Parts: sequence; C-alpha cells; structure tokens
Amino acid sequence: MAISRRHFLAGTAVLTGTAMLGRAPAALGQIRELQVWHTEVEPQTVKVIQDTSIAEFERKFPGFKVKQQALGWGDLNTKLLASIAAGSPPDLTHLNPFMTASLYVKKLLVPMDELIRAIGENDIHEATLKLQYFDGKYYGVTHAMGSTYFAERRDLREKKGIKPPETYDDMLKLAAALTEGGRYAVQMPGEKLYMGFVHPAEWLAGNGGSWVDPKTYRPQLNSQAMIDALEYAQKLNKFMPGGWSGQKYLDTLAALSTGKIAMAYLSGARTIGYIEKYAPENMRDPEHFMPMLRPHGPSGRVGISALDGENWAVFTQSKYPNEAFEFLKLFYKKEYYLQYCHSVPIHLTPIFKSMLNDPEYLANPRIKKWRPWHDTMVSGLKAGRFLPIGFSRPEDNLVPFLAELDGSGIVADMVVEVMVGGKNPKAEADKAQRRAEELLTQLGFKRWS
Amino acid sequence: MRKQALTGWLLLAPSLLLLGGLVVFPILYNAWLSLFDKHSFLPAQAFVGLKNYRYFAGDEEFWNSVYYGTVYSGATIVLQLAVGVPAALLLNEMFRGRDFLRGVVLFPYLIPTIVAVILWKWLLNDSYGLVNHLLLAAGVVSAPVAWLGKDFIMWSLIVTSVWQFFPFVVVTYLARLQTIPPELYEAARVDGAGAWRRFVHVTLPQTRSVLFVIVLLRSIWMFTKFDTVWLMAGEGGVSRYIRTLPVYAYARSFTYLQAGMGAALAVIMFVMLIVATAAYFRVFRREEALS
Amino acid sequence: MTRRPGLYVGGVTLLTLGAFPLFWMLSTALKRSDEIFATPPRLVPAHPTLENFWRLLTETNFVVFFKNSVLVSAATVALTLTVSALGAYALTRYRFCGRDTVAGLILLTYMFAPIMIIIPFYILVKQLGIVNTRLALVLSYTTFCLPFCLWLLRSFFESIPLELEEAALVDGANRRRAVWHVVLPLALPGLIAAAIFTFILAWNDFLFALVLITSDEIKTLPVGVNDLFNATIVDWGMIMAAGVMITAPAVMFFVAVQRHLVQGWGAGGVKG
Repeated sequence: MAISRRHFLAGTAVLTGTAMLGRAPAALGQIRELQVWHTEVEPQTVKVIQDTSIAEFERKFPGFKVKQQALGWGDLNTKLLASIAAGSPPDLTHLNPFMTASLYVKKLLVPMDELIRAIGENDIHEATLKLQYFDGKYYGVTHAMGSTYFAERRDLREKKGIKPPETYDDMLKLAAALTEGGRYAVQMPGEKLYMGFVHPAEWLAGNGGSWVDPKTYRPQLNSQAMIDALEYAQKLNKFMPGGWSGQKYLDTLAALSTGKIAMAYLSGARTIGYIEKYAPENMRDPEHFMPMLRPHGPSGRVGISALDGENWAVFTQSKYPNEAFEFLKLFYKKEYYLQYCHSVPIHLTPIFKSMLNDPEYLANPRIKKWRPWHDTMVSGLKAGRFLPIGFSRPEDNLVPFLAELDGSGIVADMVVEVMVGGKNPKAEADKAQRRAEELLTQLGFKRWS
Repeated sequence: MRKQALTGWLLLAPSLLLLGGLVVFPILYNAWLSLFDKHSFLPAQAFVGLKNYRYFAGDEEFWNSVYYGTVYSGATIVLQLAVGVPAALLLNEMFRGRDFLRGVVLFPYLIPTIVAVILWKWLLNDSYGLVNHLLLAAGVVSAPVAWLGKDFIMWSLIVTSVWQFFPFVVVTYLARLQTIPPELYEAARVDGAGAWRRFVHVTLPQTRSVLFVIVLLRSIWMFTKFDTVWLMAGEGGVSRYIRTLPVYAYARSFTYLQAGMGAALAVIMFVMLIVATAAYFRVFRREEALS
Repeated sequence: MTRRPGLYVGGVTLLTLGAFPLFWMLSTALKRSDEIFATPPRLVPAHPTLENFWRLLTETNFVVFFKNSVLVSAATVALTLTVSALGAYALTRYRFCGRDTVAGLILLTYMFAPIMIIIPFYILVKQLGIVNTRLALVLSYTTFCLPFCLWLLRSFFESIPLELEEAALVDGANRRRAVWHVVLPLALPGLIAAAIFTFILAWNDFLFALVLITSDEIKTLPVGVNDLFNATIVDWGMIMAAGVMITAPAVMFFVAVQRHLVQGWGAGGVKG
C-alpha cells in the first residue's frame, strides 16, 4: 500500500473537516438570510418567485438574501415541527390550514393584520379570508386557491345520457354505467392523507356531519353521517380498480388521461397537465375532460369538495418577521402575483376577487383553453361548494388537533378496512371512534365526559 | 503492565466515546423518555411511569404490528436461506464464469433500499409492470394482479426484502463452505454417499455454526428493519397491512407526535430481542460461535 | 469435472435473479416516455435515449445529492476505520481489565436498530447544535458501522501472530512502525472489507438522512431520490436513471475489490 501515513491522516482530517463544514445555512459575514418555505415544488413556480418577489426584495433590502425551500406536502409538517423543536423555524412558511389552529393554540404564530390591510382586506375572497382569523386577529393568508373535484370524461357520461350526480345513489348508478370494457368508473388516491382524511372530511361535510362535537371536541367518527358515507364508499369500491389503495393520486390522473378510468376522484387543475401530456391528442379539451362537483349524502344539502390552499404564516420564533411581511407585500403585488398564479394556471387561482375576472389574468393561454374549469371553480365558490382541505365544516379552523388526527391514520385504517377489506362499516367506525377518543385523551384535549 | 493498560484504554477511548455518546446514551435516553408523555417537537412533557407500556399491552394496533413483524421476519429469513444456501452451494462448485457470478450475486445487496423498493414497485406495478405482463403472457393469471394492493402487499414486501438481502446469506455461507476440507467430501464419496447425503452428513454439520450466526443476525435485522418496510407502502392506505413494530414506533413518534410512546415501543422491541436471543443461545448452546 | 446441466440452470437462475432487475432498471432509464408506458413492455428500448439522464442532471438537484453522499460516505469510512482500527488493536494487543466485557458490549450494541435510537439521537444532535449538517450524518453512520468494524478488525488482528510484531520490535522499530509496516498490511483484507461495508452502509442510509437533514443542499442520494419519487409528476424514466446512477458507482467499486471481500467475510464477522 503506497499511501504514506501522513497522507492518510491528512486525508482523514480534510474529509472530516469538509463534512463538518457542510452546515446550512452559511452564516458568515454580513449577509442575513430570510428563510422562506413553501409547497409549490414545480420548477417554473420556484423560478417565478426567484425572478420576481425575491429579486425585488433583495434589491430593496441589501444585506438580505432570500432562501426559498420548496418542500413536498407530506414533508412539510414533520420538517416544520422538527425546526420548531430545534428552535430555528423558517421566517415564513406555508402551513396546511388544518395545522394553523394547532400552532396558534400553542402561541407560535405572529398576527398579520397590517399585512392583510396592506394587500386589500376587502378584495380577498370570503372563502379564504377568515380561515386563520382567531380571537379577532389574522394569523395567516392563503397563497393561492385551488379547488378540487371529480375530473370526468364528460363525453362518456353524456353518451349514456346521465346527468351529473346529486346524491350518493345517483353517483353509484353513474359508476355502474361507466364500468365496462376493462375500464373502471372511478379511482380514489391511495395515500392516507386523501382517502383517510381529505375525502372523509368531504363526506362528512356533504352529509351533515362533522369531525367533532363543536363544544366538547368529542370525535364523531361513528356518527350516522360517517356510517352512511362508509356504506357509500364500500359500494363505490366495486367500480374502482382492484389495486387502487396501493396507487397514488398522480397515478389516478395518469389513469384518467390514458382512458383506464372514467373519473378521477380527486382532481385539481393539475390534471390538465396530465391530460395535455398523456391523453390522446384529439381528446385534450374540455369537451372530453371536465370537472364535476360532488354528490351529497342523505343527510346533506350539497356535496362539498376540498379547496386546496396553504396559508402563509410567520412564527414568534422567526428571526426576521418584519422582513417576512415585507416579502409578502411584494409577493402579492399584482404584476408578480399574476405571474405566480400563471406558473400553474387554474391550479393557483388568485385569492383576490378583482383578479378572478381580470382580463389580464384570463388571457393566459391555458386558462383560455380550459376556461370551463376556471368557471366551475368560480361558480362553485359562489355556491359554497368548497371547504378547505380536511375541514368538515367551516368552524374546523378552530379545532387544534386535526393534524394529529390525520397523522395517526385512525380514519385511514377505518376507510381501508371498510372499502378494501369489506368489513362492516359500523364495527369499523366504532373501533375508530374508540381509538380517536383515546388519542385525544392522550393529547390532553378531552372535554367530554 | 500499567502503562500497557493505559495505552490500551487510550486507543480504545475514541471507540468508547463514540459508542457511548452515540449509542449508549440514546438507548438510555429512550428508556427514560418512555416513562413520559411527551409531544415530539414541543417542550410539553409529563411523567407517567409505566402508563405507556400498560397502554400498549392492550393496544390492538400494537399486537397487529407484532404479528406483521413476525410474519415478515419469519418469511424473509426462511426464504433468504432457501435461496441463499443453494446459491452458495452452487457458487462453491467450479465452472466457467463462476467468479463473475459471485460478483453479480451481490448486486442486490449493494444498492440503496430506496432504489430496490422503487425498482420492485415498478416491476410489480399493476398496469405497467413487467411481472404482470409476464404472468399474463404465460397465462398464469387472467387479469393484472394488484401486487401493491391490500392482498399482496406483504408478499411484495417479502419478495423485495429477500431479493435485497439473500446475497448476505450467500457470501457468508460461501465463505464457510470454502474452508471445508475437501478430504471430508472425498471420504464420503469413497463411502458411496451421493450428493444429498454428502450435504447432510458433511456440509450441514460443518456449517452449523455459521448457519446459527446467519439466522441470528438476519432475525435481528429483519425484525427491526425500517426503511424497506416504510418505503414500500409509504403514505398509502395499504401501509396498514405491513405496519410492523419499527414502523409503528416511527409513526407514534413522527406522525402521532407522541415521543414517549414511540420510545416505549423501541424499548419493547429491544427487550423482545434480548429475550429471543437469550432463548436462541440457550437452545443451540453455541456461545463460542460468536467470539 | 463433469458438466452438469443442473449447474448451468442454477447459474442462469442466479444471474437472472441478481442482475435482471438492475438490467430492467437500466432499460427503463433509456426509454422515452411513450415506450415506458407501452403495453406490452419491451425488454430493450426501440429508441434508446439519454434524455432521462440529462433531465436528471440538469433539472433536479441530483448532482448536489451525489456530492453530499460521496462526502459523507468517504468521511464516515475514514473516521470509522481510524477509530475502529485503534480500538480493535487495543482489544487484541493489550491486556487490561474489562477487555472482555467491552467485547461483549459490542455484541449488545448490535441489537439496536437505528429506528430505536432516532429520537434521542435527534435530540442529542439538536443539543450539539449540528442539526442539518453533514457532520451529524457522519457521526450517526459511525454509530452503526463502528460495532461491526470493531468486531471484524478484532478477528483479523487476532489472527495475525504476535510474533511478527515482536520480530519487528526486536529489529529496532518502535511500536508504531511495527504496526504500520507489519500488522496493517496483513490486516488489509479486513480493512478493505470494513471500508466497503462502511461505505455501503453510509451510501445507502435513508432514515437518519430523512430525519436529520432538511435543506436540499445537504441532502444525500437516498432521501433526494425519494423526494423525486414523491414529486408532483412521477417520472419513471428519470427515477430509473437516478437508480442507475446511484447503483453504478457502488457496483463498479465493488467489482474492483470483490476478491478481498470474500476473504474478509470468511475470516471475520459479518453484518447485513
């Protein structure tokens, strides 16, 4: 072996030193870093933010650099909590709406009334304005709205002469009619978050139920509303591909585009990207693919689907809260915000009422081509057909443990056992109720007797 | 003598420091943490003694995870042996390309778990996967099988794990095979023993101790395996059907956000392993095999 | 040496088992999107393309992840080898009380799977102020490699007769030179085996990198690739390309030194 000992020891020292220096963020010299976390991972969105808001911010505040981190949705909660535990959260971040109350209750958030007024309190759409309004102050502002719904093959449904379903029974009839020739009617995403939290929330909302009793916070997982929904879901399962629970949300969009299913259960405007990429060329238009709102259950009035829209928030532990607010003012500046929303058209719909019908906004080519999708969202918002992700009723923004309930997977287990395992809905619901009551007691939220 | 001892301890010191700080301390801290009700990331905590343990004794999810974990480790160990031992026997023979094959057989072991999982999920994909295509083409099944759905996910996990770790069995067993004196086989051949009897009467006795080690180590590692299992179903609803004990411990800490309970599960796992190992040693009485 | 057909059937099966999935990964990595989703799937791409690799390298942070993995793994090997060689040497060459207890303790630490120590480790790392650094990863990988390397090297050192060193000392060399020129060369197979295993363990780790690292610049390959896998558009071609690029160095490195490896495993301890 020709390595001399000196070289070996030197090599070790260098490697260890290099490894040690891999510390982020670099905090040498006069540069101060503003840490901004968000969940829009598309490269073009990241680029837009960099070229518009960040560029101007760095011009206005020399001595500051903005460090944006695009995190996956699933990672966000864990990373955030880990950073809070480590005492160094980002200065500004996206939050899942059902997390915000949890953090507010722990006194971790800074109010942002001044920012809201600066960007136009009266212009912000009612669907998102008061979501983070606690005890008289605003603690968050939605970055953009994206409604979700079924994405259907309108041509197939119309060929069968069936109207859009309004009740569970209508939906089951439609599903039966569309399952033929190797094609399934519908497919639900297999991720726990969707099938075990987002969709059950929608079922409850559309069937007159709610996650918890508003006064005592007692969970209501075995309420009649939930049991009806589980029975409906169990029947719907017959019209879904056998392996759906092992596949993901994005797989359903690919399946829709390639004709393997007639309806994607969960779809936002992101589906358009898949259609443009994978659907047969002569079918890439709203005549073939359209959004469809959800049916309601026997005890509900209208079907509800989720409104995707994380909110910005600033922490009490943030290093540079004032600069965070200044950054947000630039973020929402009309010309920059427009570009941001155009980076993923329709999926990122502006929160400002004035912009929803603004010709400049509507002139985007994708929005022009898929205009009916945009219109569905606007009319749906007007008709109150959407609730934020995970909410079973509007007041759920005040429930401080939805994140833990989601994380425990209790609801997901129940749904999987009923839909895929074919078990008895009432039995599984009772089991889930018991587990949920135990969990909430362990977490210290028991107010019922 | 004293100076010798001092130098000895000095040389050993860095190891002890690292092991102590990075292994012993976390283990002790785990045990201590398990006596608390603590939120994973926020400071709130309260001493609760053995409450967490009592809770798990009656927790259906806990017993489910023990069941899944046992099924998983049992099946994978048996299959790893069933594939690895014959492979080692094969690679002990002389033939052209043997050395090359010895290298190739180790490939599955070298790749990161995430790559192995992604690869097998792609092979087992019910719409585009090669496995279903081959099964359909051969007429073995009439419709694509949902390998990653509820009914088969455990099997898919087992197949992936066996593929990933059987090379360990191969190399370990082969190394021992290579040290068996050929005279023993000659003597058996002279006595008229055929291949199977040679295996039973020469090979097996000679390799008992290495088999003992292989089963012991693989059992420990498959029982406590986290990444393969967790990555296989990830955040899907079907993850429930492969929720082994390590995955449940992780969930309690990082998604339920109950660090004390996660720690209790870790301690339970450790105790289970100690007990099982002690029993294993007692049954096979092979302490010298490990020195 | 009679040619037995069973042998060749077995050989081919083994070859398929070990190599075919990797071949399939490579094949998918070289396909265009339309071919990837084609039914029936083709074994060899009709129009092979390098675009998946190109996209991987230019549109993602793959290169950064790769760099981090290399740095962290190399540093771990260096640190672990140094510390364990010193320790193993102490355990075999010096008499001091408690020596055998220490050896037994090493076996005990084998029973701790990483998942059991992740939260306390995270808290420890937080106290030391090194969360989200490569150093945290190097230290954590050392925890799982050290017991194994100590054990492996101890067996090797034990098998090297004391007389060789004594002879060198008698010849006037001091202890350090005796070790460097006599003991280490003989223990080389063991050192190489230990180095390979440490490298592979560090290269492949997922759990610690997942929990300890939050920012993209420090992420290692396994976590980075998992992110790609969970990204907005699942790009199988690109993911397979990533798989190929992660596997290739490990495989090539291994093929180059595999002879030493089997020797190393035969003589010492083992880990999986």
